[in-house]
Amino acid sequence: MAIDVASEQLTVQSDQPYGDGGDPRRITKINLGPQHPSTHGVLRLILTLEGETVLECVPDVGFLHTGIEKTAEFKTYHQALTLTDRMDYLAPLSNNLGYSLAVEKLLGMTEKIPERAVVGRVVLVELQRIASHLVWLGSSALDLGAMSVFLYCMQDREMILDIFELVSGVRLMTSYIAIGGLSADLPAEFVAKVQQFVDHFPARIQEYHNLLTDNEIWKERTIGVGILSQQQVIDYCLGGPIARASGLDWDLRRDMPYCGYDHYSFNVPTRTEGDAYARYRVRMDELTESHKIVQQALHALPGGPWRVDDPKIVPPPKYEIGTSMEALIHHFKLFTAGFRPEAGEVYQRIESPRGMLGFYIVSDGGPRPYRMHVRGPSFVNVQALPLLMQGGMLADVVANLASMDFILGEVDR
Amino acid sequence: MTEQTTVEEQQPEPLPRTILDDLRDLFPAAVQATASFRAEATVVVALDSLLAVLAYIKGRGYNYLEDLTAVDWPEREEAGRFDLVYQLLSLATQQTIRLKTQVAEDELAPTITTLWPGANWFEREISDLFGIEFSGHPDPRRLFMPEGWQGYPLRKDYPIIGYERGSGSGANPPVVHQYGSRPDQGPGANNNAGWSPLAIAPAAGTRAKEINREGDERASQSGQGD
Repeated sequence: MAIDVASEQLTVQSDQPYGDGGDPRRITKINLGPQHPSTHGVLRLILTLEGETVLECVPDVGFLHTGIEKTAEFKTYHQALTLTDRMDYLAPLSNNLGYSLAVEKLLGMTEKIPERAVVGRVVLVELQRIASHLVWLGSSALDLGAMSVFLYCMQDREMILDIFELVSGVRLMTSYIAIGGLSADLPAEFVAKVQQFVDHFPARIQEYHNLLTDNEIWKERTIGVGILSQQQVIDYCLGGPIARASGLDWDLRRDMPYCGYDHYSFNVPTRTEGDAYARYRVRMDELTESHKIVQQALHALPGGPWRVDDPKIVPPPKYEIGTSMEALIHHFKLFTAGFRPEAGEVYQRIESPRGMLGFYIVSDGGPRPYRMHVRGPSFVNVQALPLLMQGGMLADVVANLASMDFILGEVDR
Repeated sequence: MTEQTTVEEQQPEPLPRTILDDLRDLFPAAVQATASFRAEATVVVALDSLLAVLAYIKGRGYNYLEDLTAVDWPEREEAGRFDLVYQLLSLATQQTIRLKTQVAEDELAPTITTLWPGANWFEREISDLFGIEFSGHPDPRRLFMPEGWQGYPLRKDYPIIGYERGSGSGANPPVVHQYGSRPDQGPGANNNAGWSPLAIAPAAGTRAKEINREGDERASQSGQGD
């Protein structure tokens, strides 16, 4: 906690600059969180209220700070991959992708990643985006009272988690997108299973639209709430759906493509109103666009190797260790000593479901990252919360928290 | 780090090269080094010109602050201990540039919240985890660590295993965590202190009851049970 609780007062003294000189007992300071079902994580908001109007909102973070960046300095590059899953814990494959791309850039092997891995990464990351947006949609609707939507979203998300379990054995913290490609081959049933989801999903998107998009109560709660201007978006380093809802036509997948995103045709939905409803519409449209990308990538998925064939960096498949001395030695060296990239620094950015996710990795030539900094989009999203809240109503606080779609694991690391 | 590589890197980067030349012309004393690695341009500037250089680069179209962080080089003697790293992006041209400056341990760095209000929390995080202070920062409180915390966790001399529970905050001086957390794991219980699973292994006595291995010296010497 960054604020000393003992020094806070529940009521403000009469010489405080709030109110119009009326009864100062109208001003109250309350905590929203850190334990609260609507804060979407362990976020503490210190709200100064006059009646139902929010005069001031101060976010207090750090409850989920686990020292991931520090820990990464003590892990080899392969080991640090598993740390990355835990940051944005609703989109672990995105984090894996950002980290893997950063390390591959550091190693200078970005062009050597096999096609199957590149396309497979796109399929999985877009499925992850859909899954993350489904949780956002379900929990936002739940917070604003539309409780049925939550379980419908969870039901569709289960199909995606089943796909992740099929490829990696793990539903969520897969660490499946690894340095050099994918950590294991995509199984034979993968294409059929993803195709099943692809065929099933458009009707579901339509159902979500039917439930919320023209719903009077939903519109009352979100239209005109938490407006961000395009200039504020740039000043406060925001990105992703939040920026696009405020009119900033910027998407890393289209504008600074990675992983072959320039081969797929998809739209980048934008709106100009910049309110919570606009952010809702942008993310809903992104569900459709991600679905399109998954469909295209699935058809483009080739056979072949799924990971770079460089035994100095990528561990050999386990089944080779019993028969090949070189495989055994490489495995041993990689898991005891690790590989040593050149000294240097890289910054890799990807479009995560929350915005621009960046990995800044500094190498000193040793087997462990000298410094790994993660630029989490949720970090800047939470910083911008006071802009939305101040001057609004207490009920709008919940709508704003929901529309900003942050994950505290990424904020605090 | 003092030579600039030419365009034989993966892809040509016309805009940063022009801007690097302009920077060297306009701020001759400020630009200390330039480098290019994996098609990313880095410029090292002197701390006192940082704001002026950033304002200039922002005016040249690098209007988006992507990232602001620090790196600790405690062994570096010739310059300041910390690197402050500013990652900038031009939304219009998709060009990027990285600016670095070196800050000594007790030196004040300028805040850039006047240029980018969003730098507020980035600078708070750095001052919380590295101990670099930013002069003119509108809200210089710790961000993650509790108020009154002593020490700066991301510095290289801060222990990865952390402080002893209850120490390091407020009036309690930091005590580096040495022993396991159970009473029978106090000083003298084992010598494997530090970041090791052995530091929190059960005491030798309890182990003997569970393990029944032939030739296991430790089990036979424990003295308890059997």
